[in-house]
Amino acid sequence: MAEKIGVAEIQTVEKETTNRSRARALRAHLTAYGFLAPAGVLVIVFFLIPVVLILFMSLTNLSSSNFTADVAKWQFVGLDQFERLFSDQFVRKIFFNTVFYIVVTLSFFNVGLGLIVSLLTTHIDRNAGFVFRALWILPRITSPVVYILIWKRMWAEPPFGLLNQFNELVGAPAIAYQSEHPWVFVILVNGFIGLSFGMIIFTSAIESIPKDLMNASLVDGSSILQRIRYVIMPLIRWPLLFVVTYQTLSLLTSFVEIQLLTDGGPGLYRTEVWALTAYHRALSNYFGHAEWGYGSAFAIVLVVIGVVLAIVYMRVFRFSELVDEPKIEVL
Amino acid sequence: MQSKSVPVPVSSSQSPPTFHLPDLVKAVRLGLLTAAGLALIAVVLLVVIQPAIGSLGIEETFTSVLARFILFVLPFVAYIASTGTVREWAKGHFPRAVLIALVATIIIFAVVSVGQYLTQTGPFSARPSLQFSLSQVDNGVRVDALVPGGVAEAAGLRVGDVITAIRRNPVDLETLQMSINQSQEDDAFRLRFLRDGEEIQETLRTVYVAEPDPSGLLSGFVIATIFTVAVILWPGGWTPYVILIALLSPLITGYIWVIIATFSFRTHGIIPLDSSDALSLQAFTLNNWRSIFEGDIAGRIFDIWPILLTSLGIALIMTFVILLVSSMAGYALSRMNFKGRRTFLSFTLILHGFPAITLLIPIFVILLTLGSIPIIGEFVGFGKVGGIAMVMVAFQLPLGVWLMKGFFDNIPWDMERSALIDGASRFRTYWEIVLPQIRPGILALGIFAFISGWNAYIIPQTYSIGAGFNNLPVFINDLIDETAPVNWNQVAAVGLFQLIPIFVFFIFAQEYLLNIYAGGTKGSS
Repeated sequence: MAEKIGVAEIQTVEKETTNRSRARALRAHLTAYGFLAPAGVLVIVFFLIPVVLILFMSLTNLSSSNFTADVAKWQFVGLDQFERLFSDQFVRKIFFNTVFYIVVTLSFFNVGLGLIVSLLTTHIDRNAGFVFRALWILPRITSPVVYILIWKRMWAEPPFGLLNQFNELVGAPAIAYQSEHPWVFVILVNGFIGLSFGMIIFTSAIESIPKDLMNASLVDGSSILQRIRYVIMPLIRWPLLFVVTYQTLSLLTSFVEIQLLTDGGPGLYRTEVWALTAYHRALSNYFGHAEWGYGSAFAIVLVVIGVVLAIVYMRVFRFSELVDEPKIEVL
Repeated sequence: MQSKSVPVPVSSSQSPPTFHLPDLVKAVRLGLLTAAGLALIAVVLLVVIQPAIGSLGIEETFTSVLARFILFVLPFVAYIASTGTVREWAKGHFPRAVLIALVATIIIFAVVSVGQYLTQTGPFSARPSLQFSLSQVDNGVRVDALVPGGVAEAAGLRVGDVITAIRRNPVDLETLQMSINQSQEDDAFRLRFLRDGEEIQETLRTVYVAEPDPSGLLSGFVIATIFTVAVILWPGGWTPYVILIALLSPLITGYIWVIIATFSFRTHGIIPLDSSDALSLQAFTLNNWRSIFEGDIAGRIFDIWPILLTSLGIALIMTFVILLVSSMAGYALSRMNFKGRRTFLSFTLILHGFPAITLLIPIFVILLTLGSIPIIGEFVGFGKVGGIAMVMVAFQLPLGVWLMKGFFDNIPWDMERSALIDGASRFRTYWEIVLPQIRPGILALGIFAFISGWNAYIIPQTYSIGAGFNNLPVFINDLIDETAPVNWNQVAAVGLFQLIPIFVFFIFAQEYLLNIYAGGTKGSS
């Protein structure tokens, strides 16, 4: 009869089902890897392999005089490049330049003015606020070359410089900005770009505060300033931390604008930062010839600092929350 | 129960008395406190922080510029603080408010001026001077008196000399005074003057002298009073707008300069000038714009079309490849559970913060190697559009993947489930069902990728040395870098040319831009 199914038959059916689902799981895995493959290839070729490669490079004496793309021909010199790095007479200056640059730009612009602009634009007419925030995006979407072109005209000497024209207008003496205040401009240039990031993050944080909370405090008699201090500020502590850590990494690795504006000068390493030094040593003829090995050593130190900061950042933001289980199991 | 009799102040809710001392005290106290606080910050900056930074080997002027800025705004902030307390009750008691505010301001002004005198700042600061006093006479500027031991005396000037010109430029009292005011320490002034009919030339060098400037003090006083009244009358709603506009104005002026410079022969600052140094319609021209297409800027011959095509090529390849690759990867990461998922996700997050310079150096070698592979090497090698585009795609990949994953995470998966149950393949589900649902996300990432490709500078620059490769930004940088003098107006024209798509995106796609540039945060906007 149909109901009478033997144990052996059940087992076969079960085994077939397990086999089928195993095959299906395998197929599903392969599909997943298939989707990931293009990204995976790019990541391996342009991230993983370069990282390994630069580790090797920093242990060689590769320079433009003995340059070859054939890895086998590189000459290993052990930790010589690193010894050289740490005993370089300018390393101390470049290091502190970098710290100064990050601390000042971050506190005054990325966080400071970013917060101020987001507070201001959320307290005025909604559309007007939007326009102002949109205008602050301009530096970010402008090519660095054109952006620095504008700044170079701003700090130019009279009669061409825009700032010096303003000085003339108010009766102040002309100032040779490029030679006297390079750091101020490096900070301004990068700060104006960085400001937009903090501004966006803080604005979305402020706008996501429940309207009832915001209205209640005003109804209870607090002034706008008091509301900012007691309602808004405590609620943007996480976004604040996020902006600080993210922008620290960002500023640590930024060097293009500085290279275009002052190229580390004027004078000896006056505005040189660590990432720029790595670029100068390894890739440009700044010193007459490119020293790939030495520049790589600089880059490796930068990576170490960056990785440490990134790990701290992930810990602080409870990375596991972001990587929670996907919505659907494999069918 | 005994009720304590508390003396009720008579004045509080009755008609206002003509003068209420506590209000004044409050205003003055807050004003002076603010002034003292700001002064303290400036002092700390100059005396503690600047030397500390200098001792680390950093040569910077940021701290001193900041300190000087604080000292400049100090009186004004103090006036705002003191008058601010008056504003609270100014409505209906206007005359009394103005009186108290002005008295407070006068007191604060006096205190601040004393402070400026003691520290030799403001109107008491050292200013450039040639150490003589002058007056205007018919044929020039007469030297009325000489400071004994000063530079004018040491150079041989005498009382009665009539200055006629600086070098070959005739001067009157006003221009001479202005030139001196705008000079730096030790600037040379070659003065021509008449003595007993004889024309003599002497060179004087300016010196910084701390002389009290009574006119400066007076004008400061007048400004303070006007400012105070303005603060009382100020419509509070204006403040955010004024601050925002003030912060933005340097930036906007810069962009306006690009536009004006493109269409004029020469500009002094932001003003276009014609051949007679005047602002007129003759100052405007389309020559700069034309020179882009004619291929000749200041003697340098070039062809704009290959450059333009290269820029476009990079931008389009980037857009297409990033959208395809990150949406596929994002879909897999969002929808499927597989071994290595967590690793891949954490990996992309770490990569996102990876220093670009660390990758730029070895990728040089990788591109050279790739270039030597037959067939593929033609597209993806060193100095080729494909290679450069691939590198840029790889750099943007972490952001793109996270963004796409975020967008996918927010799509309910009912439609996919039914499609899969009906037997559609994963890829078909992804392509035909899910992808159309995240159109805004695709648009946003696509715009971002295009802009990144169009603006690319450092990667094309680094990987095309000697390969004769040019995209617009690299070309513009080349124009500026020339050792020959630069025609900034023509460079501005090329710059504007490069900015056109940016402006277009800016005008039509602002929300997308704002969303995408906060990128990398927990998934979708």
